[in-house]
Parts: sequence; structure tokens; C-alpha cells
Amino acid sequence: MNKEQVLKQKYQSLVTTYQGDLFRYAYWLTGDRQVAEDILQETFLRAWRAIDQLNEIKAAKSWLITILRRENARRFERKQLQLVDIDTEELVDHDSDNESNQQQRQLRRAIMMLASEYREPLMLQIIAGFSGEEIAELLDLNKNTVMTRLFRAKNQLKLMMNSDSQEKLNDAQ
Amino acid sequence: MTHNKHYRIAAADPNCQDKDFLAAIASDPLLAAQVEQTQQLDNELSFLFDSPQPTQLLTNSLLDICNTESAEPAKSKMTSELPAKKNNRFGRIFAIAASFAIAAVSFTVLQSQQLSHSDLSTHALAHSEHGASFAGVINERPSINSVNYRLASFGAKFSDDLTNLSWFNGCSFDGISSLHLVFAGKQGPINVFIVPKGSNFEFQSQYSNATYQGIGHEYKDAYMMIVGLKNEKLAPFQQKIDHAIHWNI
Repeated sequence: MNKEQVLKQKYQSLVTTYQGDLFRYAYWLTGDRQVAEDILQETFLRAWRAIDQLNEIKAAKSWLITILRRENARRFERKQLQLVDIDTEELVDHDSDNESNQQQRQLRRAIMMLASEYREPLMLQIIAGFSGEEIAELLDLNKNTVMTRLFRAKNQLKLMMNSDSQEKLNDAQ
Repeated sequence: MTHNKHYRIAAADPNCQDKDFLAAIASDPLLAAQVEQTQQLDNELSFLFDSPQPTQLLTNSLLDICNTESAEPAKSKMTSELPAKKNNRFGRIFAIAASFAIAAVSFTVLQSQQLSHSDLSTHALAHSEHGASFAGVINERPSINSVNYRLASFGAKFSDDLTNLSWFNGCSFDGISSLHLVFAGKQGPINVFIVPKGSNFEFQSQYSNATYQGIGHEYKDAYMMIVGLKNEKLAPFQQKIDHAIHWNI
């Protein structure tokens, strides 16, 4: 097998292993499937062009996440985001026939309401499975800051969900 | 201090494998309960974060990058490589004239686009294409009550047997506040738009573009526009939804 074939094999194994996590990470980062697809294309294009620089396959996931985060930052440099023409009025949910679906929607809404400085470490922990140290390295923060942000993110989620439930309880009474 | 630290770790990173932390869990039932509670939240989050999945088309195009692109950085032309601009008076006059021409053409194009927007089918197809990346990508399983709450302002309600609804939200048809619902069809998402009458919309009962086909139905006070992929059978779906919607509540 020549060098080019080896690199291609290495690249394609990166795609098959990490594209799912990276796509979901981009989706939850941007909130838009099309933008997430674009970012993923750019990320893997850059990864392929720099594939020679990836020496340790163990470091591949954080390497790809770093490229993806840079691509997302470039998106803001390039242009203002297009506005979505569908209104974002909060869905009014008076009742639900299925409690767990309702809880999922509450959780989704609560996540989207988190400040990005809290949401991103949470996504890196839950989607990518990174430890506190790894998140700290990726986000260029110290570990205590990461732990504090994770602690606050989860606390805020619990509080938002509890207050939603309490409101609904009060409405029902 | 260490006690508090362990509780913070339990709330932030319940799967932490530090020896001190694991020992503390073993000796403190309250801490163990806190760990379990956070793990439960993490499980709910990971279930939620588990979608959407990349499409096969995207996967194929990612895999194909190494066959179509060279594994070296593209050499982009830097601004300094471009020839120096000449201070040319004729050039500036020409540029100003060209700007006016472009502005005039843009205005005409915008005008014609605005005219075409009163066409219901154009709106329905455009909203379906635009929403394809987010509307119904995650099945939110909205409750019938929440849909009916929004639908009440249109003088309508759905009966309880409405199935396969994955997403809904408000949208605007030429400034008219309308409702966009997405159902799971056999071939892909089916978009349903409920648009109140009140503007001079041009109505078509059948329409299509390269990707989508649509049918329209006119009620006394509103239109219903249904859009699906080309190979989706929309007529049976339309009959079903027509049966489920009740007007003048």
C-alpha cells in the first residue's frame, strides 16, 4: 500500500468513527442542520488536508473538535447569519398526552436557553464523552472553571425544568 | 472543603474516576444519591443529544473528500498577490454608473420577487425547502392540545386521532401569520401549511418544483397547502387530515 492509500484509509476511518458525534455537536452548536452539514464538510476537508499532522489516532477526536470549533468561529467572521423566517414564538403547551415527551421538550428548550459558555462544555461532556481535563484543554480553560461551568449548566437545567413543572402544576390547580 | 468539592464533582462530572472521589461515594450515601441523580440527568441529556443523525448522502460526500481533494492546503491568493489598483478616473466613473445599474436591476428583481410571493404555492414550496434542515428533524411529538391552542386563532381544531405529527410552529405567508406542521410521511416529511384568507393570494390546487410536489385545498376561511417529496402519495394524506380538522369551533 503506498503512502496516499494509507492516508486515505486513515482519513476514511476518521469519518466513519467520528462523523456522527461531530455532526450532532455542530447541530447543537448552531441549531441548524444545513449549517451543521456545511461546517462538517469544511471540518473534514481541513482534516484531510492536514492528515499528515495527525500522529496519534488517540488524539483524533479532540483534533477534529478543535477544527470544527474554528470553522464555526470563521462562520461568524465571514458573514452575519441568515435570519430564519419562521417565527420562534415559544410553543404553548397546556397539557400533554405523554409526560416523557413533554419532559424532553422542556429539557430541549432549557438547553437552548443556556448561555453558550455553559452549553458547550456540557455538549463536549455528553456528546463527545470528554473528561473535565480534556474539555479544559479543548476550550483553553482551567479544569476548575470547566467543572464550575458544568455544575452551573446542570443546576440551571434542573432549576428551569423544576420551574416549568411548578408552573404547570400551578396552572392545573 | 473536600466534602463540598466532592458534591460539586458529583453534580458536574458524576463519572469522575478520581480515587478520592470514588472512596467518598462509598462512604457517603448522600453523595452516592447525588451522583445517581446527576447520572440520571446525563442519561436524559445523552438521549436528547443522540439526534439528529447525518444522512447517508452527507456520509458519502465526507468519505469522498479524499478522492476529490489533494491532501495539501489549498494555496489561496493573498490580496498582496493581486495587481496594484490604478488610480483611474474613468474606472471610478464607470464603477459609479455600474452601481446605479446594479441597484436598478436589483430593485426590479426584488419587485418581481415580491409579486411572486403572493402566490401560495411558491410560499409553500419555499417554506418546505427552507424548513428541511430543521423542521421536524427532531421528532418533538407535540401534543394535540398545544397544536389546537395555536389553531384556535384560525377557527379550527384537530381531532384526537391526528397521528405522526413531529413538529409545528408559526410562519409567515406574505405577512399573514400562518401555521406550519410537519408530519412523518412514507417517503419523508410532509409539510402542511394552514393559511388564513385575508390577502389576495393566488391559489393552486397542484404545484411542484424539482424536489417537491404539493396540493392545495381551499376552506371557507383558510387554505391548506400540503407539500411532500415527489414520490409521496399526498392525496390519501390530504383526505386523512381533512377528516381530522374541524372548522368554526
